[in-house]
Formats: sequence, C-alpha cells, structure tokens
Amino acid sequence: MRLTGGLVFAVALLAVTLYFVTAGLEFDEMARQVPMIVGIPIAALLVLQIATELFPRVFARLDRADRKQVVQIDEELIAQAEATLASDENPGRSLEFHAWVGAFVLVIYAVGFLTAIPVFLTSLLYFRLKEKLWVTLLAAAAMWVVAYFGFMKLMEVPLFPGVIWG
Amino acid sequence: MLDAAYEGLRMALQPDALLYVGFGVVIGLIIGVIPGLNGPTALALFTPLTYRMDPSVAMAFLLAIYAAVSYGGSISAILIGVPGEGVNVATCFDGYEMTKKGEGGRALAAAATASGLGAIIGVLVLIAVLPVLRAIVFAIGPPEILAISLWGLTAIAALGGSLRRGLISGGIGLLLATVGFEPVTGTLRYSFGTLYLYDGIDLTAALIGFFAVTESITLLAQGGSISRVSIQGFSGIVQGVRDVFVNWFLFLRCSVIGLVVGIMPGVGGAVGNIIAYSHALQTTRGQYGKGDVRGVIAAEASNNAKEGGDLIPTVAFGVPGAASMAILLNAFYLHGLNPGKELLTTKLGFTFLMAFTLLTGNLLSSFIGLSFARVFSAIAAVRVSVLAPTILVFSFLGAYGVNGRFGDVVVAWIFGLVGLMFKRYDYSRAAVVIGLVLGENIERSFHLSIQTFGWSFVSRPLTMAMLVLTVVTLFVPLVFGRQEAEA
Repeated sequence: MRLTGGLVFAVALLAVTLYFVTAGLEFDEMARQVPMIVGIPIAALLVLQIATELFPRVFARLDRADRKQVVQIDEELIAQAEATLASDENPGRSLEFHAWVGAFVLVIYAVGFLTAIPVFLTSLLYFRLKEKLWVTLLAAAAMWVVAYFGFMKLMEVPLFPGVIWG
Repeated sequence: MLDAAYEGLRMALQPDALLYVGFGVVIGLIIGVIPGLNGPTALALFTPLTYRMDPSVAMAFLLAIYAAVSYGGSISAILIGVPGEGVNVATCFDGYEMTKKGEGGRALAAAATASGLGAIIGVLVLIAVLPVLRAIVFAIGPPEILAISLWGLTAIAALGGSLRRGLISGGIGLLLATVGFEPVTGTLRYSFGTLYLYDGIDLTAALIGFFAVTESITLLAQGGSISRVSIQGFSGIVQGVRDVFVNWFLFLRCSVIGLVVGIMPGVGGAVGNIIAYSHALQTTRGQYGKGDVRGVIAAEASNNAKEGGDLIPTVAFGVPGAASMAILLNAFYLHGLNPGKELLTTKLGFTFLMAFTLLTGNLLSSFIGLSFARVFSAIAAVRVSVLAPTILVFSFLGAYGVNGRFGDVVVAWIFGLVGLMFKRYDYSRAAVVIGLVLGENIERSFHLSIQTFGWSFVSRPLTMAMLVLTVVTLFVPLVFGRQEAEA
C-alpha cells in the first residue's frame, strides 16, 4: 500500500462527487434527481478505484477484467501502436508549465490581454525556455498582432483590459 | 429532400464558405502534421473564432478543419515516421517503411486517394441514410432520446479502455453539467453564489482547457524538437493512386469498417485504423510492416470513411461518438443548430452542407496535402518551445472571445489542469466532454419523460431496447474480460 498520484486523484474525484451528492440533498426533488442518480454510483465506482489503487494485488483480477476490450485486436499491433505513440512524459514539468499558465491568467487579470501576452511570451520563451531573443520577440509581436488586429479589430471582441488599466 | 440538398449545395458554394473551407483545410493539415496536436484540439481551438460567422460558413470552416487533420497526420506518419495523432498510427507501420525505401510519394498518393475515396463512401452513406434517420427521429420522443444518449455515453465509457474509469469520467461530465440552473424547474445548483456559474460551466472554455491547454502543456513538458525531417524518397505518385484501384476490394472493406466504427460510439478514434489494418493483415498476404502499400490503403480508407459515420449519430440524435463530435456538437449549439428533428427537417440544408463540406474538405486536403507534402512535413520540425506557448495564448484569447467573460479564462485554465490529470491517470477525456455536452439534454429528456409517462416510460419498446443495449454494453466487457482472465 503506497501513496500514488492515481490514488490522490481518485480521492479528489471522490471528494468532488460526494460534494455534488451531499449538496444536492438540499435541492427540491426534481433538481436533485440527476445528481443523485449519477453521483451515488460514481462515488461507489470511485471507492472501488481507490481500493484497487491501495491494494493492487488483491484486485488484480478485477483490474484485468476491467481493462479488457470488446473489440479484439491483435496484441502485437496494439503494442506496436503504443510504442509508436510513446512520448517522454514528465509530470513535474507538466505541473510547472501549468503554473506558468496560471501566472499568465493572473497577469491577464491584472493588466489585461494586450500587456499580458508579450509579458508571458517573453518570460516563458526567453527566460525559461532559453529561446533566442529575436525568436522570442517575433513570437510575442506576432501574438500581440493576432490579439489586437485579429480579435479586437477584425472580430470586434473587446479584450479584457485588466483590473489595473480597466 | 432535393430542395434541402440544393440548399446545402448553395450554402457550400458561397464564396465565403469556399474561402473558409480552403482556410480550414490548410489549418487542419498544419495541426494534423504536428505530433501531439489532434482533431479535438483543432476544433476546440477554432470554435470560438466562428462565433461571429454565419452558421453555414462556421460549419463549413470547422468541418474542413476536421476533415484535413487526419490527412495531415498521415503526412508526418509517412514521411517522418511520427503519426500526427492516434488515428494515423497504423498508416505509420507501412507508410514510413515505404519512405525509407524511397517510395514516400507512392505512400502519400495511396493515402491521399484512399482518404479521398473513403470520404466519398462515408458521405454517400450519410446522405443515403438521411431518409431513414428522418423516419426514426419522427418516431421517437424524450424517453428514446434519453435512452439513446445513455447508451452513447455508456458505449464511450465501456469501449474506450478501462470500463470503471470510463464510467467515472462520463459520470463526472454529467455531474459538471448540472452546475447552474436546472433546465425544467429553474433551481439554481452548485453556483457557490457566483453569478458566473448561474448559466453553468461554459462548454467552449471547458473544451479549450480540456484539449488545447492540456495538449500544449504536454508538448511543453515533453520539450525539444518534435522531429527532424529527413525525407529520403518521394517518387511513385501515379503508382500510389493506381494501387488503390488495384486493391479496390480491400479499400472497400476497410471503408465499411471505418464507417461502422464511426457510427458506433466509443469504438472509433485511434482504434478504427488499427482494426482496418488488422483486417488487411488477416485477409491478404503481403509484407505488412515492411512497406506494403496495402497497409497504408487499409488504414487511410477506414480513417476517412469514419468521418461520415461519425456525423450520423451526432446530427440525428445529438449523441456524439467521439471527442471531436462532442466539440462539433457544442459548435452546433453555439450557432443555434439543434440536432435531431431540426437538422433533419427545417434545417436539413445544413446537414447537406456538412456532408458536402466533409467531401470537399477531404478531397481538397488530399490534393493540397499531397502537392505540398514536403512543406507540411517541415512544420513538424518546428520547436515546441515556440509553438506551444503561442497555442496557449491563442487558447485563452479564444476562451475569452466567445462571451467576453474573464471567468471563461479561469475555466479554461482549471480544465487544462483537470485534463492533464485525466490524461496522466488514464481516465477518458472523451467520456467527460460527452457527459458535459449531453448533460443538459439528458436531464431535460429525463424530466420530460417522467412528467409525460411516469416511470413507465422505460417500458416503451424502443426505450426498453436501448436500455437493454446499454446494460449489454456495460456487462459484455466484464464477461469477456473474466473469461479471458480465467483462461
């Protein structure tokens, strides 16, 4: 029994599901029907998922049955396909870049799209990804043009100005 | 029907629509050749741009992108051995081997011909079944719509990989769809007191987060250059076209496989081309895996015939069979097009427009893709460190652009994180988005069924049949799995 990312994620999903079920109890009868009908079995399945994450050996047989496909395809072909599509996944880096994106959202909130776009692209490309300065500036300028002329002028979308300028 | 077909043709031939089809094809090809970006990402990314377009032009644009992505993926699969997306993986098996032998042009031409002709078959079947679909749609009511939707969602969950995680994903999608006003009583649910959530979670922003943001971050995390382009051989284009006609029966069988796979929710996507390739392997003798052109023909015929099949349940019942179709369904709603009776009666012209666009999009993408294959394959070598951040910026502009609400930007970001987790821990993203897109309709149909028929609605023949099919779909994998595990 060990703490894995899969286990933590399943627990988080269970918490969300239980919130939907328990908060749903306060709604009128019609409004709570679907959250109950869907939420209770999903919560049960998540408990099972957590159990299989906690005790993989005990539930190994159930897990094998669960993964079995109705459409039977040559296993060699599947393995070949998986090898072709394989990529170097790095969960730590994924979360780091997601944090960068979170920072971008915050900067948009503060100073709006037109300022946030060059700030975000310059910081990420030049300082974090070590791109050449001219590539960084070109990308930042190109996306600023897309935002200003493409969205604001052509599509007439008044882009979020940010709480500071707005 | 003929009037509608004429109307569809007229809309498809508008200068604006034609221009956007060409534009969509180029975008689709570019996104298709970039490994890691796929059809759902392309559709999620460009749906917001259609918001202010005329619905007919918007549909033409989106379907052209959808049609071209698949052939774009074939180009990189054949020329550089890296499939643009899962649907092109079987093309890679023999296509890249042919390139290594100096027959890249022949493989590309065979793929282009099989794709184009496969699409024609898919579209012809779509048009041929329209009268039958009309008859079915007129015979069904909310109970049947509910049962069909439940079956579609269950099939996605059950046939797409792990049954348990598939069902959990579909259920989470349905639960998220309950946020906001309840569609019949108007009760406010799970809004946390914020005005933003009164209308529920914005689908477009959520889909952008779930696909475009997630895939861009994944690309960034993988880092480096996607691939180095080193095309050794580019000859035999005429031979490649001829190969498809010489192997016409194999092409036809694989097109039918693709079509069936497209109609069946959950089976399609990455698996369809492998099923067709596997069929070619089992029914014909050849040097498969070592550069046999029939491997390319089988995979590509199935891929593009599938697209016509994909549209059938989406247009007729509003039940998308795959993530791309769920995003397209959201685009229908965005443009005030309601699947089912409306798209098969008063707005039948739009359905014909979609069929014609799928056809022209596929033919055009085959032609442009083949003509500029070297240029497109070079795009795959663009560094992700430059590409992914610009896609991220574009994603957030798109998320904001539809409603002009900052909350949509936050939703796209949150769904980007959730999408990463779903991808990392192998939960079905397709099932979540289909649950999210179908949620409101399922709930409305459920309440209307109860109000009109009481719980006896389940005993209506077609409803009963679909519910039985749902149960069978749920339990067949378990039964099969247990037998295999015991053996």
